[in-house]
Amino acid sequence: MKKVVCVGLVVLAAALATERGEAHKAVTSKYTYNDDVFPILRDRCGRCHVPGGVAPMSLMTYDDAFPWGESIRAELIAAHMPPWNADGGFGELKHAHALSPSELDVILTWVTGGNPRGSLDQKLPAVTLVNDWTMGKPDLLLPLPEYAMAADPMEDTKEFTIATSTTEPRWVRAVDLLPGTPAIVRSAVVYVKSAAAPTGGPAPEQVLARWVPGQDPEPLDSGAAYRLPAGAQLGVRIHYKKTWSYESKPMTDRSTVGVYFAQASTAQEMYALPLTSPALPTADAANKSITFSQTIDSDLRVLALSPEQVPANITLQVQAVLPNGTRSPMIRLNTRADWARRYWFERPMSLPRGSKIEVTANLVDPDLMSAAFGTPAAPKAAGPSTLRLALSVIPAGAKAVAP
Amino acid sequence: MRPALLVVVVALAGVTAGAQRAAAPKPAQAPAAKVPGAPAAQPLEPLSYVCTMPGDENVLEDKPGVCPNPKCGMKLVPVRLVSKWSCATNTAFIKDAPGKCPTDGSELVRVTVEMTFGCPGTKDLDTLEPGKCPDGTPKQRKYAARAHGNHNPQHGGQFFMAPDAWHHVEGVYLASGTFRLYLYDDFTKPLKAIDARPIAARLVTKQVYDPSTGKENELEKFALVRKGSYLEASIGQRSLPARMSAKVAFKTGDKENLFDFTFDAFSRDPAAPKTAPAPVKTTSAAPRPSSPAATKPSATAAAPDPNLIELGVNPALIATPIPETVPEMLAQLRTRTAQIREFIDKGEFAAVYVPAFQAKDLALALDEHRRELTDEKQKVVEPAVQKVVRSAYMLDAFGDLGNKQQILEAYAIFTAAVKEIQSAFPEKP
Repeated sequence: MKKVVCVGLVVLAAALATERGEAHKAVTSKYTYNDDVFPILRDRCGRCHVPGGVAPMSLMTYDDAFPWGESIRAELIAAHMPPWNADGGFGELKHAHALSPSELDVILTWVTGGNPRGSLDQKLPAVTLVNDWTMGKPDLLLPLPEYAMAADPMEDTKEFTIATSTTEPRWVRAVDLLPGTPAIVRSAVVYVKSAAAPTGGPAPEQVLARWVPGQDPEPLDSGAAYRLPAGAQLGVRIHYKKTWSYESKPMTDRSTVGVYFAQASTAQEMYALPLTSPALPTADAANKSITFSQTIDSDLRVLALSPEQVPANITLQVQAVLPNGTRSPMIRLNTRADWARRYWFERPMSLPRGSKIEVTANLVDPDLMSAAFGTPAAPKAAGPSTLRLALSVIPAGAKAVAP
Repeated sequence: MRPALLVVVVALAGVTAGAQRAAAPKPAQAPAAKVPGAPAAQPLEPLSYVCTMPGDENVLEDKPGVCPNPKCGMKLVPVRLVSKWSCATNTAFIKDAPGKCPTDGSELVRVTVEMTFGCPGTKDLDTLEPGKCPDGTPKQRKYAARAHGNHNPQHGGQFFMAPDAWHHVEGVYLASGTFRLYLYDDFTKPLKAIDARPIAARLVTKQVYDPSTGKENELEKFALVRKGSYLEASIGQRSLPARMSAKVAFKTGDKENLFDFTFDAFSRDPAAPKTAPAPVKTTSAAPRPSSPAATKPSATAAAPDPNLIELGVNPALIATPIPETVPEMLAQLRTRTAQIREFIDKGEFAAVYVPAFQAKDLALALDEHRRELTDEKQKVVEPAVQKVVRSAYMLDAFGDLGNKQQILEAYAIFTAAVKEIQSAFPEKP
């Protein structure tokens, strides 16, 4: 047996022949960057982790990626990246931006197993930043004024108001944003400016888009649409953030809002149903969990859910409880700063009148990796005192109307 | 011969692969990060000599020689090791002094790096001595981070890595009733006095959790007093297994790090023969499969190699091939899940990664059978397998830190995901 072990070691040693001075480059990964890792990173991460992208580093070449091995490992294990914060096992959502289990394993094996490159002769295709309208050219282009970001601040939030100059009400099926300088445009909200005060019940949906990098807009193609009043003004709130590469550098941006009109002359209007919690437990409270519910007083079809005002780094679970007691999971989220998107359900959820939307928030940070390794958690500003979510809904039985 | 070799290679690769993974939170390779500066104005750090033989990464000599494994006889290779500062989560930045990481603002951490002298844009001209590039300019210093090559106990105790990934500790409980905490750097070299001086530590042998405060009340504790390269407390002989926790702040004012030790027996001098080898915390190569099938040896080889069991190796530490049928996979998954728990309960945290990675591979193999399930069950399996993969790596990482509570939290995620997988697949074909 000893002989067999020795032969095994010799075989392994031969496989591991290393250059002088690299004694401790232990390669245990059977996956290489060139053959296995690059295709995954290109397809799953290449919209942001590319030169000029919004991510702090490119991962599109071997030399770009391997210094970040430990960071990649920590982000993947903590489920911080890809930045899809919904639990795949709870509720059914569209466009989940997640790695498959085997993709996850390939990258984790590679980053923890010596980051082998693969054949030195192998030339990988260059990956460049793609900054274009993913739904094709919009029907209405609304360029924003140029924003100048001074050298000092690392981040800023800027509110723009733009006129649509529409002369009649229109139905809108999607709104997108094309960053002028993708490296600093971190998130954006586009909404219809209105003087109407919130009523607490369903009100016409005013938020037309919650934009985060790497996410395509969701076109409303099933007869639902946002209503854009004649002459409406749009508010555009953009969060700008520099990565370390742009620290101390002045930057400018001129992003453009793109509006896609619905082709139909009639449509069902999207409404927003707000869900607001009572006061959240304080930081020193023994019980860090809160559950609240809201009963809906009419039949609804729920298309999407948006965490509008939630603290970062908490766990949020939302489910519908039908009048007969049946529970339908909607979403479970580990919230992250900067990644407040609108989550679209795979199919509209039909909820009869009397159904309850039950929300449970656990304010304990679920990130075990950061807790264990003491890596800096996302900056925690004083969190909101209440939670606010919004459901994007269509009243069941609503008829298509003119805008 | 072939099957035997295959089993040995699978076993070696499986048993050893995980160690390096968690043990090496820095990439084993690092870019040739360039730090501008005069190439050789100061005396150079001395050369060290290391062995490139898999399994002998812990060999570190101050003079040339050969690797200790007489069958291989490879020459030790020279490296110039220096201590620098880098980001905790990436080695894109290597600095001469402490400071802040430009990517996330965290404090830079100590790292041991290999220093060479080279020219921009190529590795071909890298040398261990200063010199000039073809264009006449002086060669620049380049630094490459080194992996943690040796996480083996040096004094017969239990070995853990601190969350800062630079400090390492080994707890030893001697028959005399003395507890010692040996302190090492990221190269498992005893800490220099200057690095050990700011360390404050105590040993807690009895504590109870107070739910009203959410904290542990320490009922019995001992100051750990510095004695040369280790800290020590006399705690008397206790009944075995003896559980105790070292709480260590590596810098004045730093957060305390918790290391949970469980001693089934008194620690013995490493020179004493061992009946059952601990999992080897070192590195080995997993041969690249020529095809996916190569990763799935036949089910006939699914049982742990009896030869390894004969050698006294715990079956939980022996990698076995993935079986072919779903019920066999589920059975192995159950066994591996139980083995993880046993290691946690016994305080053998550093061994947790072996069954955890085996379970992860089983879950990935089950995922390939997902399409055989109903749509509803398929929706359960993929996210559950994803959680098994994540939590297996988490167990691997936390196992090195030695904090039982953290390991249990990762295990809870792991077992919940395993249950979801088990509930989705039929137990019988």
